Amino acid sequence: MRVLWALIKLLIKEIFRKKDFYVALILIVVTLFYAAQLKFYNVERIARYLMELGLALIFFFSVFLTASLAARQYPSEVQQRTCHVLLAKPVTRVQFIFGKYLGSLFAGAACFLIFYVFFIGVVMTRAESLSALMAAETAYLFVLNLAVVAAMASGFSYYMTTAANVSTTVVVYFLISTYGQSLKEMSQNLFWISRSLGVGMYYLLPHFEFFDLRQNFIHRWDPVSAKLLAFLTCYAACYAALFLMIGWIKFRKEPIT
Amino acid sequence: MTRNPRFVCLPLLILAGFLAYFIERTLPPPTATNDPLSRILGSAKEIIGDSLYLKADVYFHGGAEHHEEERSGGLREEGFIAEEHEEEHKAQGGMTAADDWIRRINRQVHFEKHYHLTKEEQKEMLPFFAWSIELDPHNVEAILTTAFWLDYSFEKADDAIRVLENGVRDNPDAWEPEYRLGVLLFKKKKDYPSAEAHMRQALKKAHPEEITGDLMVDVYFYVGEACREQGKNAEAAEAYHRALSTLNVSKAAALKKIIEARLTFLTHQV
Repeated sequence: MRVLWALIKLLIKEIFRKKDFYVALILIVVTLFYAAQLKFYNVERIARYLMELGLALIFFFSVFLTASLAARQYPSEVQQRTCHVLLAKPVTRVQFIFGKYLGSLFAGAACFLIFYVFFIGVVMTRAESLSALMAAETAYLFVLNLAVVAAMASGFSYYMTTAANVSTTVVVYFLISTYGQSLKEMSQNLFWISRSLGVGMYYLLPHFEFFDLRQNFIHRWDPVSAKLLAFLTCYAACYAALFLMIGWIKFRKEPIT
Repeated sequence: MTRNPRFVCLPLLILAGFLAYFIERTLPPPTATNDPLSRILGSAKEIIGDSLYLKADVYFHGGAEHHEEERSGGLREEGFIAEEHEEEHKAQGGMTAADDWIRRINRQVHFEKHYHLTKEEQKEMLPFFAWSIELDPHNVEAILTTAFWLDYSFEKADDAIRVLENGVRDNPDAWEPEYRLGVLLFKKKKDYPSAEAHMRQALKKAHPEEITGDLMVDVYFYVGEACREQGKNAEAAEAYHRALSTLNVSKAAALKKIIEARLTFLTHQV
């Protein structure tokens, strides 16, 4: 556990040392402040458009930061030749994979929570009331979302370069989030190879839209039940384990020379 | 002379200036939508504007993107419905036998609570209306809907009038903004000359098949009312006669009585 915690702390420090987080934070702050000043026909306290914009920005930047952090861990360790030093110390390969993954996840979740707290503060100045339960559920499910994204990027990092990995992860994430629900229907009228591919992707790839409660939060729908939350937690854990296993299959055979 | 480039560049510059002046004189005048956003986004601006108008519809239905089409006239003809429609609620929550487990989970997570925004919540649509008409000033339905909500729900007649005036300016061939503007000026501002002018413009712009039946009756009735208020009795009588000739008596018996009373009054005046 101490080894894992040491790796996690390193990654959290790394993300706050680099510029990426601050650039994202400044963009979100400036955009939200500007959007909050807008007046529409002199009607006061309009909030939902601000929530729509704020949540879209936060989700996008959090996914991007997490994916890029997770994607560059293994390649940068290999490039700087610190991977072998790390493995020569009493850090097992399993601890290495888990540590890098958990570090990326914790760092990404920390960024997200900072953005989120700021966002809630801005929205509270406009909205008449916000559901604390919905806010908490939205945050929790998005952290699960980041868990899957971090695992995907982490698992792919043992096979791809950083740039290819980030592109693949982000593209898959946005495609599934946007079209995941209707992927099966959209494939029905295609040629049988494309149809099989579409249906295969529908069942095999993680459905990130399960973790997206933005519309529920903005439009004050009912909260998700505890049973469903537990199911989604297990769903995220399974996919995270699957992607890490994919990475482990490659990494366990990497020679240390 | 050729050793010093100023002797070559200066005449060329003067020639370029004259050419630019003559070319600009022959070019068509700049359009109203010459703003930076148009130049950056091009025709994508209109697509985004139309999407934002659809977003306003989604907001009106409480965020439900797949609500049943229960009306024909779009957002404009919705009433203020404070309660949920229980039948629609159940219909959207129900699952078919063909649903796979992924779809079932999605429905449980995104259980679309279809409701219509209450009066206090309707302001949430305003940003999308404002952006949609700014980005696509040729979306006549968005213009009419925005004006309707501004007047009916928020009692901001001046803003509604301004939206319609911009709509008339940006859509010179469309009759609906003229008509709605005329009605607003009549009802809210009591500006009878302007109201009459706009409604007559609407009649001129519309194709014969566009204003028929009840709509024709409404237009001529308002024209008649506006003329009567201005003391133009002959024109008022003519407009009332036109309205009466189109009126469907079985549907609008009360209106028929009103128009007949007006005509009787005008006849006595003469």
